[in-house]
This record gives sequence, structure tokens and C-alpha cells, in this order.
Amino acid sequence: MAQSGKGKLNYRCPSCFMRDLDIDMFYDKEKKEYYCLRCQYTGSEEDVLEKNEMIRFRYRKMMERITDFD
Amino acid sequence: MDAELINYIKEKYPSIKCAVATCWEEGPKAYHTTNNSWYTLFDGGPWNPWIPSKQNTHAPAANEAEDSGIVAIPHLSRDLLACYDGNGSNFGTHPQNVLRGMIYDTKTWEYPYLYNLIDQYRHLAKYNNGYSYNMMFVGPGWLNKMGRWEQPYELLKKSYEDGMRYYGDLKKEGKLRDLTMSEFADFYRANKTYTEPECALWKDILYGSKKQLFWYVDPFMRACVNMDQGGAIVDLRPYVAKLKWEVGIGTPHVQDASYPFLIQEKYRAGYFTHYAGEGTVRSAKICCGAEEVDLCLCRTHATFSQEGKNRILTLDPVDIEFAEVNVKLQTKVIFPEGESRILISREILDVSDPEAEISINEYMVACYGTTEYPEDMTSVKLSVGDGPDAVKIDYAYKCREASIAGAKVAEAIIPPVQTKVTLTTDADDATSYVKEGYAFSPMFTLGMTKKIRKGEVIGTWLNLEKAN
Repeated sequence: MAQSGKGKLNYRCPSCFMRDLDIDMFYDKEKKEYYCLRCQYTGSEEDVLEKNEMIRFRYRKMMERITDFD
Repeated sequence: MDAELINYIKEKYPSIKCAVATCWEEGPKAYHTTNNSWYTLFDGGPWNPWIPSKQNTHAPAANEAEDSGIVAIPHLSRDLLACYDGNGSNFGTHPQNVLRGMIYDTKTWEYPYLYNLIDQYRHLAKYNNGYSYNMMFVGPGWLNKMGRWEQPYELLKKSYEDGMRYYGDLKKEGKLRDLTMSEFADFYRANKTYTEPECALWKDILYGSKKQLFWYVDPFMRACVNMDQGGAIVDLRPYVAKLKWEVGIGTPHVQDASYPFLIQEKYRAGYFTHYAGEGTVRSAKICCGAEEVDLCLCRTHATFSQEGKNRILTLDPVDIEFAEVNVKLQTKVIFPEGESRILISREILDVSDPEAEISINEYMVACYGTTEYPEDMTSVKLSVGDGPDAVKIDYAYKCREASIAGAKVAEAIIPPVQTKVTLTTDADDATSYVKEGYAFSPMFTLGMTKKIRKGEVIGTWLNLEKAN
């Protein structure tokens, strides 16, 4: 098995991102998956992008332009 | 930059007048976010520019003798609620902070939060005599062609250009003045006094809660008041001690540049603790018979006002419902400029049964530290009362208590942070007390209890002094 490398972008582990940890993942060419060195998450690029969006459940005002700060 | 470094640079290069000295709340939380690989530990400083003292970078100079000779600015203007609750690197006016936090629409690449953040900083003029400040600081590494945080270079570039464009638009509208760091230092010195505090009544602009925090900083303290917890003080840094705190190899604090806290609700719990023990907070309990309600559970909102040298936070009244009686109460938190103390006043607006025996227990649970782990408390000295009648407890983790009816002061001396903190009252009929902690609640409590009646106003002072 050859060594892993970085993907085309620095894809962070969705599981760690959800607990306020920014951990770049590595890419396993043979299994065609990203994997996390810190936890047990593995997934495809599509899965990483989809799961990382879970962080946005917190941001209920993310797309609202606010003008009243009182 | 620690004070020793600033002092050295100022001596060696006297023309330097401004420096990026810290990054707001970039302490253990940021350390964790980077899997403990980014050694930036400096919680506890001001969020907006200040004149550092010669003794400690975080603590602003109280006068010319303490003036380090520079104006310090924090790296980035950060969200004063989101960064305190979570990862600092996701919520700042560094546009790529906002990308790192994924606070944008993936399809449209829009990020109104960035503009909301800039605008809330502009709004702080309301609390600071018309002055507000904002900065963006982007190093070239954040615009690299490889992209970052799951997004390509094109979005990194767009976010930087959009941020600069927004500043440009504000400038064209006459709502912004752009200054170099040196120009800003001159402006700051011409428009600020040493003891003038920096105030920020900050609202949640991201999560959709109604939560408000009030931040206050002056040469004697930094404090955070949480309106979601009835106006409890949830973070307190005793700048009055102006701790000499060298940082770097060969010093006692190789990486730890934070200013120590007495209260920190994230690292030492706040109102909520698991199973037993107490977390650090300055709050009050309203008591009726065996029932007890902590004001930390009374969510409310505040308005800011300034009367002379007093900055006043007036909270909306809250209702406390006991089984047989209801109490309506209003809290004010008052910061007198330059006095190193905070007055908390409670006005009892209504009691449904005038005959009911209601009392208030004003308290402060505290300790000291800069990280999540407890420190050795054995040097802490507690006392209650004045003069020969004072009762003293030298901290030994024995869970002891002492109280004196009629006493007006409860005191703790904390030698590792050279600080004396007291709770005092003018009331003649209060009972003051101190409590020692134990191994699994390594805190101390200062407090005073008093019966209350409708129409009464009870004032309690939290006083900070340097104790060598």
C-alpha cells in the first residue's frame, strides 16, 4: 500500500469540525477516500463536503443582513 | 508581545508607536481547535485598541508613568460572543475567518455575516463617546492559489475583495476613516484618556438567539456581563494587579501569555456544574423559605447609559416565581470609571405577598488561572468582617465556612495573581460570609445575605486591589 497524500484542497474532518477541531484529512488513493488521523471518520469528497455543511445548523442568522444592533 | 518585549522595542526603536500585540481570546480554545499545535495562548486582553502598561501588555496603562509608549491593536476585530463561546478563528473581520467557519452560502458565495460583524463594530460608537474601530488583517498565506478550507482560491480572493470593497463603500459614504497604524496611534492618543473604558454591549448576530454580552475594559479590570444569565459576571480579569508576566523560553510562562482570570465560565464552569460543586460566577440567589432561585436562570436584556463617570447597564426586570409568592426585580451593573470596582444594585419592584420572608444572597464564586486546569489554592486567604472580630480561613481544601451578622465585607487574597477581591455592602443588616472549597470544587465563595422588601434597593460592590 502506497503512502497517503493531501487531496486537492485541505478538506477538514467533518466529525472533528463539528467539535471545533480543524484537522486536515489525508487521501487514500487505493480506497479513494479521505480519512482522519485523529478520529475514525472516512469518506468521499462528496461526503466530506456534505457533512461539513452540518456546522451551519448553528448559524440561523447566517444569511440575514442585520441593521439593528441594540 | 509581552511587556518586556514592548519595553525593549520602545527603548531600542523609540519611533515605533503602534503594534499588533495580541489576538482577542486566542487562548486554550484556539489551541484546541488546532489539535494543540498552534501555540498562541493569550486570552484575557482588550478586544479593541489600548495603551499597554509597562508592567503587563493586556492591562491598559492607568497613567503616564505606566504608559509603554505604544498603542496596541489586537490582530483582527472579532465577534465578542461567538469567539468567547467557540473557536476564535471562525468569527473575525479577517474574511477567511468567515470562510473557515463556513459562514457563507456554498452556491452563491455570499457572506452577510462579515458585513454584520463590521457593522456591529461600527455600532460600538454608541457606548464609547462616538468612537469605534475595525480592522482587517490578511497575510498572503491566506490568499494562496491552492485554496483553503474546502474552497478554491477564487472564493478566498473574492472574500478579501468584497471586504475591502465594503470598507471602501463606507468611506465614500463618509462613515469610515482609514488610517495607517501610526496615524491611528496619534488619533487614539489625541482622543482617549488613560482611564476611559472601552465598552461593548454585544448581541448575537449569527446563531439566532437573543443573547447579549456586555464587555468592559479599563486599566483595572476586564469584565463580561451575561444577560442570558440575569446579568451575572461570567469573566473577570483583575488588571489592577498589573502582573509582571514574562513569556518565552527561560521565563516561568514559556507559552502562556494569558492574563489570569478570577472568573471564567468556560474554563471553570459557570452556574451549571456536573453533579456537585460550584463554577465561577458573580450572581445572586433569591430565597423564600426552602426555595432558592439563582438569577443566572433569569434571561433578560440590557440597555447602556452613561451618567458622568459611570457606565450603567440597566437590565429589564425579571420575575421570580416561588410556590406561594412572586418577586419582580431589576438589576443594574455600574462601572465607575477609574475606581477598580463594580456596583451591582437590585431593586425589588414588587413582592406579591408583603408578609413573605424573602432574602437575597449576593455571591461570587472564584479561583484563579489561565487554562482549563485548576491551580493550587493553598495560598489563598479568606476573611470575613473587619478588625479584631474578623474570621480568617487559610485555604486548605477543607470546605469550611465562616459568617458574621452585620459584617460589611468578605475578602479573598490570591497571592499567585497578587490580587485582593472583596464584596462589600453599605447595609447594616447583612450577613457576610466566606466559603472554602474542596478538592473537587477548588473555588472560594464570597457572599452576603440580607432580607429584602418591596421598594428596597440593595447595592453590593465587587472591589479589586493589588495585593503584593
